[in-house]
Amino acid sequence: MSYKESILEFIEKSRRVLKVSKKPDREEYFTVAKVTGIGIIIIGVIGLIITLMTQILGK
Amino acid sequence: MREKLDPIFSIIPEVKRPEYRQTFKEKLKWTGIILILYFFLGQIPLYGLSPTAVDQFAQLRAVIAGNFGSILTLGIGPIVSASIILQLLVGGKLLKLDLSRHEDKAFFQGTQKLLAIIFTVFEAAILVLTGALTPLSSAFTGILILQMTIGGVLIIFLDEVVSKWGFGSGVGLFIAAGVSQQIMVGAFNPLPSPAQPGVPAGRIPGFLYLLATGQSPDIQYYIIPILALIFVFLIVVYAESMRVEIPLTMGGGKRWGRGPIGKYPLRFVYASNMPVILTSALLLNVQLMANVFQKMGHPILGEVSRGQAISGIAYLLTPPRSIDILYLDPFKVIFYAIVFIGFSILFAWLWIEISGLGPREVAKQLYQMGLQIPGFRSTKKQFERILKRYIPPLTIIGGAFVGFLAFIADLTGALGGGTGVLLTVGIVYRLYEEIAQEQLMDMHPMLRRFLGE
Repeated sequence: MSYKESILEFIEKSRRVLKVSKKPDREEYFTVAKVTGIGIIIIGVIGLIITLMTQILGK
Repeated sequence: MREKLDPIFSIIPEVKRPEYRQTFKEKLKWTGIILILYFFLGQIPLYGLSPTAVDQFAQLRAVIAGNFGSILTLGIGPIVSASIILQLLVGGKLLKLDLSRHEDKAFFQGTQKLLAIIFTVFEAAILVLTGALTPLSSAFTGILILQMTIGGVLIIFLDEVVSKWGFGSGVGLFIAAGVSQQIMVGAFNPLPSPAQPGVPAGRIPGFLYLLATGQSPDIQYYIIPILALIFVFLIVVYAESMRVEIPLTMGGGKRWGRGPIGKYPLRFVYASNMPVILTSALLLNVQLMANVFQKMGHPILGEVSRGQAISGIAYLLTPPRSIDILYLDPFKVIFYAIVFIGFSILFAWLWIEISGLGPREVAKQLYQMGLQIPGFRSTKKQFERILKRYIPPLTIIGGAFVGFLAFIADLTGALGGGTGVLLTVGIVYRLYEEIAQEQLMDMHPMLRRFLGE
């Protein structure tokens, strides 16, 4: 197979993949947003507390 | 060569693997302990560092984690740099390893750790000796390098503890920790800001304080980064939840047409955010080497002044972090975008090869689970053929997409950094999936057997 053909075939494959890819529905989207949002807040709050603690004690 | 390296590997201490299956609670405990330790280590200031030192890697900070001016200044930079070298060696077939074999994998991990330790010393020495990290006086040079080396080695072991005893990987956990901390501290810190005494340093309390005292707060500083953060977050969540689904049925029956009982989902961002981490670490090394060449008197990668690359390729490859640069220096932005996206594609492809996410490995897994694709004969070859239609294009499109997203996200100037938010959403989401699955398996031992543990 020539170089050009394999590139064309790849583009065709890519188009098919994009066509079958599924966008999240409302419920899925909100679950992911909620879960990651809460995760970031939990980790961040631990970080915030430790930062504040060392900054206050450091003085 | 392997015989020569083995004795070295046996000297490097290793974190033991747990001897029994860890329960969900134990894994959570270890992850939490390491997270807290990591935050504390990031608060230990480097003794002997000049107060005028500036962070040359401020723009890459989200990805290399760590905390500038602390003993964790190097962050996970050395671990990721070591991993890049190995991926190029194995992916380029310069080092012939079959990572599905136990000995080869052990050799891979041993080499990676040894390289990471070498990189730690190397990066610490470069930063101090080239003057990128200025010591109080030359008497502190050795002490600074030593402290950073200790911090760097500690990170390597903390990472190993998380990988073996906790959820996810240390590298991921530290990136998420640094970015989440930056977001929460940046948004909510109630302590007075050093720049404006009396005004809280956090954007939200600062904004409210200025309003309450009748002053007009600077919207560009107080509000835009938070709005940009929310915007980037919402977009990334969307991208993370996109899937390509391959329908499957349970095997064992003689007839087709039982209807699909499940779908095997492939993430649209198939190589996850690994390409962005690896590309950023590569850029970090360009900056480091620019320092070295400048010190040697041949600034072939560009000049660095006060911790900022100001010319040459090192300047072109500094992440653009605000929208202004689009019209100040459009050439730089375009050049950066092309290089960044190009390398994201390359690393996506290398990552799939190395982490066993390629068509052949996934086909083997599906086959062993006894699954079938309706309308096809359930052979390993058949699985592989079907997966080959999906996985390679997905790897490349996903890699390009995630690189593009990181590039755009950086331009918004979001709190925590655009790339930082992108990485953190992906990491936290995967962490959640792993935790959820672990919890499920704790409750249903049958499922454990089914999934072949």
